[in-house]
Amino acid sequence: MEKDFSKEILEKIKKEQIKPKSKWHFILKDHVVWFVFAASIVLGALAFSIILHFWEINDWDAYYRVNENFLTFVLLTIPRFWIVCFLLFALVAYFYLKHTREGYRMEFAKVVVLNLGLSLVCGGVLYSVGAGRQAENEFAKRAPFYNDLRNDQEGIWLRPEQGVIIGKIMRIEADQELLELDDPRQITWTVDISDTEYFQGFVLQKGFLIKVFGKQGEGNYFVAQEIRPLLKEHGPRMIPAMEE
Amino acid sequence: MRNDSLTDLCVSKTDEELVAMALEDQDYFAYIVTRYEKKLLSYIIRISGLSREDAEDVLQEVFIKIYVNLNSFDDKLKFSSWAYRITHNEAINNYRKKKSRPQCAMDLDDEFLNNLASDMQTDGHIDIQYLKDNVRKVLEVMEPKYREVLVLRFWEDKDYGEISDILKKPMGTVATLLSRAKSSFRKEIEKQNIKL
Repeated sequence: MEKDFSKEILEKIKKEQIKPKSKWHFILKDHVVWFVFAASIVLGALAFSIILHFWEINDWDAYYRVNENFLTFVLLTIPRFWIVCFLLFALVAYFYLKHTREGYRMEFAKVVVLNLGLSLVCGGVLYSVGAGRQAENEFAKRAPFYNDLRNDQEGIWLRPEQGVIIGKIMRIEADQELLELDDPRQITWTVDISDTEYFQGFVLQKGFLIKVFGKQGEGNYFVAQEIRPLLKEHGPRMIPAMEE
Repeated sequence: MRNDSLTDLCVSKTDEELVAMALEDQDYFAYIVTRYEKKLLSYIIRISGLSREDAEDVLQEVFIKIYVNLNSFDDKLKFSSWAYRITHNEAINNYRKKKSRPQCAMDLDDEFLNNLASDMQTDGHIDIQYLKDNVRKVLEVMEPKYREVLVLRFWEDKDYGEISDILKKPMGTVATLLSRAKSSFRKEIEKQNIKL
């Protein structure tokens, strides 16, 4: 005799007091998915605005100073941390968009274009209002590991034998046209500024972080040809890891 | 089960109406079970190759899942697509749990073979018995993802949109999958020297 399957199921439901999950459970789940998607887009956009900011402040015109070909220079100076963040958020956004109720219907290319498009456009807007710079500054203040990463990356500009050093101005001896500079490795440099140019009217002050192009002399003596703020746009901004 | 007049009433109801009724009163869920048990049981056997007894165990889990998730049913979908999706996932979970490759224990029917043969553009003179004997061999060695899509298209007679909703893949992917499944089917036919 064939068994009554519907009766069996109903009995099991009643016996085990199985109840349908509430509508709110699914509404909440849908909203969480959309929220994570939206948050990933916003964070990805912020990362992109920071990438644009770094692109803008990079010393593109000085790549020949570090004795690398342009491609190597680009790879060494691009903000790798933020590019990884951007890709990570794009991946999370992709995953969550695919997990919205109808997300599976979208073709891969469409989802990628939509995700990247949204992040890039929003990132462009954030960059244009200065959010990239602010966000990066805030992040630098709050995340100690980030300053280590940034200092590592800025190490490309610490090549005295190739004519470039960076560091913090410890003392200025205007009458002798010298300044004393501590680099991130705690080496103190005496920099001759008697015949140097200053980037866009940059004015030296004790405590400023600077980048010096020139020629290494005997020992820790360095003859400056051009002085720029360490981060072009920021001018005298301090990097906490290098502060006293 | 309720009385005959109520049963007649439920027969005339759409799936969506029955879902709404089952949410109000669980007894109505029995009508959904009755409506889909045969289709879904066959589908489980076709894609997983389980014995009828094991397939019924899976089917029981499927209906419990359908019941528990009734409130998530989105009426932009066909109820049958949603039910097939849950069934498909449960069948896959089942053979993942057992860590076994799904077997092909198909009871090949004439309609399936005719659908398949006509889509494969054979010369029109098909020996159904010959096909039955050989198609099973071919399906047995095919990758499960290809077999699943062939089953949905030619056996369950689902269109691309429904297959997309069941497998949760974009329509373009379904088309690609189906085309590759057919191509893989043809290659296997050649390899086994089967004449269609």
